[in-house]
Amino acid sequence: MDAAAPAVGEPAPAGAARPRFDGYLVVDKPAGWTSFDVVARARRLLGERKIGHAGTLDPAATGVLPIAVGSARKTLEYLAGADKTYVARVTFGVETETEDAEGTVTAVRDAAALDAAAVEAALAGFLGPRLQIPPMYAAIKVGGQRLYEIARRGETIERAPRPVVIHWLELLAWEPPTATVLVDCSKGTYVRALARDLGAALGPGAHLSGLVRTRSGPFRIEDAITLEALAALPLPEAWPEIAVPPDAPIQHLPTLLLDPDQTRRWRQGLPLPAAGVAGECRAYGADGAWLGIGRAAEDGAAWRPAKVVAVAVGSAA
Amino acid sequence: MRPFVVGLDAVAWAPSAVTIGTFDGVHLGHQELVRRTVERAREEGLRALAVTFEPPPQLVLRPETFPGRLCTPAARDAALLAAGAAGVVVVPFTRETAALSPEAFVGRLVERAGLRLLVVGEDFALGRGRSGDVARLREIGAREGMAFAVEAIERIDLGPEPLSSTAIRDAVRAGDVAKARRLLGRPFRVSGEVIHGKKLGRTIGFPTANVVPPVDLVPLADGIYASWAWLPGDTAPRPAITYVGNRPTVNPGPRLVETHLLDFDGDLYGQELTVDLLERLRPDAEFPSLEALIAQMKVDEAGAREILAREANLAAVG
Repeated sequence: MDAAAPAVGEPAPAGAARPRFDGYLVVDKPAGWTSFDVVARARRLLGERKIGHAGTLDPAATGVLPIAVGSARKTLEYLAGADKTYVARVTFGVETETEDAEGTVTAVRDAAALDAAAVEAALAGFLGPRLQIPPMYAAIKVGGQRLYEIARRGETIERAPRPVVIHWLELLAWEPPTATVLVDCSKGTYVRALARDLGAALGPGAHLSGLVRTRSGPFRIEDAITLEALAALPLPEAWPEIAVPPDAPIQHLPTLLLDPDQTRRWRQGLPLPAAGVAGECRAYGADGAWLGIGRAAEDGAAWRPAKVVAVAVGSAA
Repeated sequence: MRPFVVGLDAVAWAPSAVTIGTFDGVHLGHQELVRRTVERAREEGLRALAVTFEPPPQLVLRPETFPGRLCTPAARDAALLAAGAAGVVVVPFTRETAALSPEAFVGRLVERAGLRLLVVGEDFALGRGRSGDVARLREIGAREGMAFAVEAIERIDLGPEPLSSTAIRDAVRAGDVAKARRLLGRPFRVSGEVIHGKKLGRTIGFPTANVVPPVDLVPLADGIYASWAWLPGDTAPRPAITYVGNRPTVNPGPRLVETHLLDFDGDLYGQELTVDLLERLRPDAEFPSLEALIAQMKVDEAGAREILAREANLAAVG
């Protein structure tokens, strides 16, 4: 296998058109920034237009915001569908319009009787698959309008409950009336709604008073870089040290290894005959370069290139 | 009907649900009391009124123990209206008012403000020697010619720390403005006209707009704070850093609230400046040299910027 890739390791020709930046940048979003602000800043710092992000974080929240650069954008949707982990602060006794600390207070109730044991018992009741009613202040569209646009007009409408899965909940700290909770959950889970429902279950109501995302799919807070640190780095030299490979979010897919001839066919978008395959796969060239994502033909007799990574100068093609 | 603020004698008779209190600071507990009054008023087809006193009873009865206000009377009235009250009735408080029997006082409310439902905290009491507690008020309300009901709201505490004006004043005095904000539901605020100072701030790179804190406001602990500054007409706060103290290093003198607006250059003398205190960065300190002070101010500024960035941009959702 190694011998079949003579071009591996040779430097790309000077002035090659190969994109300077490719892969994921795992940013630790600062509080007060919108997710879009972070993307705009990264775009300027890298001087790279082809940038996107997955899993919007509210402005007040901090933590893992994966930024996809170049071919990594092809795996963004897999990341959006991945599980997330949060450290959430839930303050009991105060309910707000937005279900977080930014909204107008709508109710205040006595929470002096709550203790850690009661909070832990309530948390246990939220584990597993459940239906969650999204907050009125959410970006979900209903009848062509975003919910928060409706909410800002002072209206409240009925929201269809959405299926979510809460994999793990753990009370990390209890400073009455605020609980710090580790939340591991499926995509689409609103932690604000979880805080609201937890408050309702315990009686006095609650709102989300702080949120840190510590994991988004394979990306963890330990590996995240602040925008300040990014700005201080020499680029593009330091890029390989901070970038995560673009195929990181699809490591759960089976691997398909292609020889140079198959690689050429793949790049032309031609199906590769196979026997009894199903689902999706990730394809690699003989030199180990990621080539894209394949989808099984309906009869299972071929892999069709579904997403093809653009040819990089210096690769084995 | 437009919300209003008037004296008791100016209130036209109309059936109303009334809540009564000093409402200093209009904290989360006060706001909830008003909200419940509004809710009950809606159910009963009444007008929701908040009745308060000016000056604060303690300032009249025991001025030497008066701890200072958490907000100006105007801010109090605005907050009561914002919580949903249709009107704020300000009863002038004198020693004569204090000497009124509970019957005489609520009698005036029935007569002038059409009192039908009184919504108060369960430990509320009014009138001479606080003799008009909930039980007594219920008894009075049942009498002929009175005919009002009394609804007692249970005490609301959010945690082990009591939700009370006293607790918030203690927090402000200790510099814990973050806690004050938590319990008030909004930041502790100081406003005033910008006065001419010694302009030493300018020479050390931190020009400040100086305000004399109102005498009857709770004294804020000395120190450096991350703050929001508002100028007349502003629709969004300006990031700022505020010093409270008497400047031991550069120019000792009277205690002032000195605010340096970040990324702002302009003359503010004579303008009305409002400062929201968000978080204290450190207590006041005396420095061995001007250089040491300037170095520390730079550290303070960085700390304030971090806090303010966290606060900024909160309107956007999604």
